[in-house]
Amino acid sequence: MKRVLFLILITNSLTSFGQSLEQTFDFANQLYKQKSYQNAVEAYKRVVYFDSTSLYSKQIYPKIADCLFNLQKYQESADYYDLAYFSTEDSLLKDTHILKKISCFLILQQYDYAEIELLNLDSDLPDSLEYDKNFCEAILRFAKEEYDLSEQIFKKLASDTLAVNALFDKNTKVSKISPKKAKIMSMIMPGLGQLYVGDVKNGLNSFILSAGLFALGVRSAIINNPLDAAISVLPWFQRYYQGGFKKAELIAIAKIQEKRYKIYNQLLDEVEKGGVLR
Amino acid sequence: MKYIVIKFLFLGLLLLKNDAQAQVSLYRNVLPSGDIKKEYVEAKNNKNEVQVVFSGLFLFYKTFFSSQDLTVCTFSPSCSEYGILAVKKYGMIKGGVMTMDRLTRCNGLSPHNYEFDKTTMLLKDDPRITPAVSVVSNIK
Repeated sequence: MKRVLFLILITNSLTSFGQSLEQTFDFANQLYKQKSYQNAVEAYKRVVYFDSTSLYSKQIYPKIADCLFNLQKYQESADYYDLAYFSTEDSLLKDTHILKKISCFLILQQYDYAEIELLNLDSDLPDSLEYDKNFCEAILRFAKEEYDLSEQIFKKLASDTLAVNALFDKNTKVSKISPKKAKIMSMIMPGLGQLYVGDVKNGLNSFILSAGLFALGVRSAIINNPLDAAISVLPWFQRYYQGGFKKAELIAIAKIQEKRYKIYNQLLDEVEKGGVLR
Repeated sequence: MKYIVIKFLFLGLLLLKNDAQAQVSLYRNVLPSGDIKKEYVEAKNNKNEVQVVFSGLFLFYKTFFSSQDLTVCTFSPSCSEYGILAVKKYGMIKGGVMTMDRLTRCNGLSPHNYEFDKTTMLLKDDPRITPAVSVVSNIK
């Protein structure tokens, strides 16, 4: 019995074949079409690993990058778009990969990297890519607080330019909120900076805490003596007073971000209304 | 026939719009949202009344006091978080004693006794995890 089994194993090993590179590549493409991106990435990576002549690399890198993009692994996706960029000679394809890479960096909030990639794009792009470029640039300029430039580009993208105008006017008002001013106001009177940026709850909270501790210190100084009051209450007062004005600055920054975020999303709504496909 | 054509055109338009929306929606969170509200998971999943009371106290402290000062605790999780976690794991008495012990240790004088948390730049001291090396030396 052992001999028979041994013979079967030997004959099997001589007659059986593994999956060829082409078959794996086809299988990966099939998975890609079925939107099974995780499995497609694994299969593509297997092809790249065994592809000693770099026969498939050109086709595979952008596909892996697309899969990773759909899987929301943007950092890794950007790396593969980079490989795809260097593996092709076609300038149109190169620009497409750059635009995708810019998208990755924008989603990752790595604006400087996105700007560098934007500079790598060709000056004369076909219409479809030109729209994508404008879209990315409008977002990038807004994120980098270059609002005049961003407004110009958003106006090209949106159908309702008046709405874009109104949103950028709103944005100019947001720029008038000053975190430093909020900090100084809270230094003068605890809670005032928070009220200035519209955070009533935190403003009152800070005022009540600091004023309460101040009153406690004064009372303690009158009833006992100033040294006792300083030792027992001053550290607490210092903690909440200092915390109050530093928090006022942070709250102001957060408020600005919140308002900008809203305006930015309204701008995207305007672009969406335009209904032009990306 | 006219209706069928209109129907197909309408469906096509809808698909086109959905695709555009899907593309644009990818870029919705490119900017920071400015949401600084914290969610305290430590105060969730209470199993008895004691835990509910202590979670309430914890949330009150976090909302009205801790929110107004700076990061002064040298540990991660912070002393108040350590307190609620210890009470939840070891009960009111042992957890309370552990919290008091923790408060006496919160001074940054013995960083060599703790692991360093690189993400928060604070010292690690979690009541849920038993340290491999005891925090306080056994040598007398």
